[in-house]
Amino acid sequence: MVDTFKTLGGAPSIGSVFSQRIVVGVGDMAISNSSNAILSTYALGSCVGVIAYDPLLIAGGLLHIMLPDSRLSAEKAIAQPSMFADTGLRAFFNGLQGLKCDLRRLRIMLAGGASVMNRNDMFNIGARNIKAVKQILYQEGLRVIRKELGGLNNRTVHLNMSNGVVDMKTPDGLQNFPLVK
Amino acid sequence: MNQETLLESVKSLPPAAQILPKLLTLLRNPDTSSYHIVDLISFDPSLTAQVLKLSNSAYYGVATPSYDLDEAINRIGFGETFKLVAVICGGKLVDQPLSGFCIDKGQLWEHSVACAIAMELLAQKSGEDTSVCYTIGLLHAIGKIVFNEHFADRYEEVFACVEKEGISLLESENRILGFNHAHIGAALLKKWNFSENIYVPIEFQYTPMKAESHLQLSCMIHLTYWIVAGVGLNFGKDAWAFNVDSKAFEQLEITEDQLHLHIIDVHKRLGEIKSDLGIAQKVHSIN
Repeated sequence: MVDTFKTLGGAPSIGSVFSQRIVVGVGDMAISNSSNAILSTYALGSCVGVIAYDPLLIAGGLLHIMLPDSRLSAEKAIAQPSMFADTGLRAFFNGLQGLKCDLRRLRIMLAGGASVMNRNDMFNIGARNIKAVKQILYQEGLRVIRKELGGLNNRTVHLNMSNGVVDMKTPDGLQNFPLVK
Repeated sequence: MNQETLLESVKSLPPAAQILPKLLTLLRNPDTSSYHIVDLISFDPSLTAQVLKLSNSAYYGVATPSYDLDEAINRIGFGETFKLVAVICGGKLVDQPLSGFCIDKGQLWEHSVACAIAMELLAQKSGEDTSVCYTIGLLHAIGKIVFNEHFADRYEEVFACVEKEGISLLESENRILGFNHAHIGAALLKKWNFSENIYVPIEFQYTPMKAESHLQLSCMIHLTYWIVAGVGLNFGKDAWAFNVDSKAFEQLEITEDQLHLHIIDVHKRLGEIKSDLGIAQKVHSIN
């Protein structure tokens, strides 16, 4: 659970008592500038989660991409842009800029992109999601500071907006990744 | 423990699910009328109430709700009635945590219902019987429940073998336990009087091209497993430790774009079913 529960000798802090968990579904996103918010997404399999945090503004977001390319269905991309890497990242950055985040200041982490064992490109949707996301971030000149990608397990991530720490859970256990030094 | 003793140790099909093979038999009979189905369902008052409630849900676009089972069945049709019964009764069967596989309560249900939906979508394209396909999807993982009951403490060894040898979960089960969950699931469904077109595809869900009969259905459940994984609904440790046989893709003559669209459609339809059943966003064990 969040670190704030450990302050004051075990007593929960005011912030943690009023913390608000925002669950990001598959093909969805959330943007927040509330330091009480925890942005969570469950079971990132072949999907890729893009986690971004602006430490100066205490603002950030979480995007859960399901497929690499919106050309699959223009209709679905309009209805739910976050589903695809290209339209999703565009909407994500627009949302962050709407909160006055400076894209160059963003601390970005990627998680997910699990793939089946055989190397047939057709079925390695996780690898293709990773490639699409990395390509767009590269074109935008944005650096990724942490990557937890590939492998055989689903991942769940929580971004604690108060301190920019990402808790990542897999069947192997919990890991914490501070996005701010 | 060998396969025979394992199967003998498994109890009979739970009462709620005993209706499924009976209902499938009725659906195959051209002389079946709604009266026969009402007779079977109304034996269980709780099931009757749930079928009525779901048949009146927004999904069926009902202007005036039905309070009579016979009327509801005639309105939504036999096939849809079967799916409602399957998701209620079969769902109970697969709604349990599997500690050995690191699968939490609710996760196997969500995975199984998503597989049923994906199978139904593929059935609409291939012309296979949608009720049969729905059942295969819903019950394909039943062998995992049996394995969890008997071998939960040995899965650490199974997973270690997956990681060390770089082999699939199925192969690792074969090496460590001597047989695999797909095989046991099929044997169990056979014992419970499900028809061959249901248990054969379940036996070959990971190796569809080895199926000597029901090849099409075997390929469908094989690709379904991948589609559902793409929606993030393949839970448990080493959930991606499986191979996809591209020959199954050729067999079904399905394009890659169609498969990707199925991923989106399954996700959407599962959301609708969960909403109809009053199930909120599940909080997974990995929280």
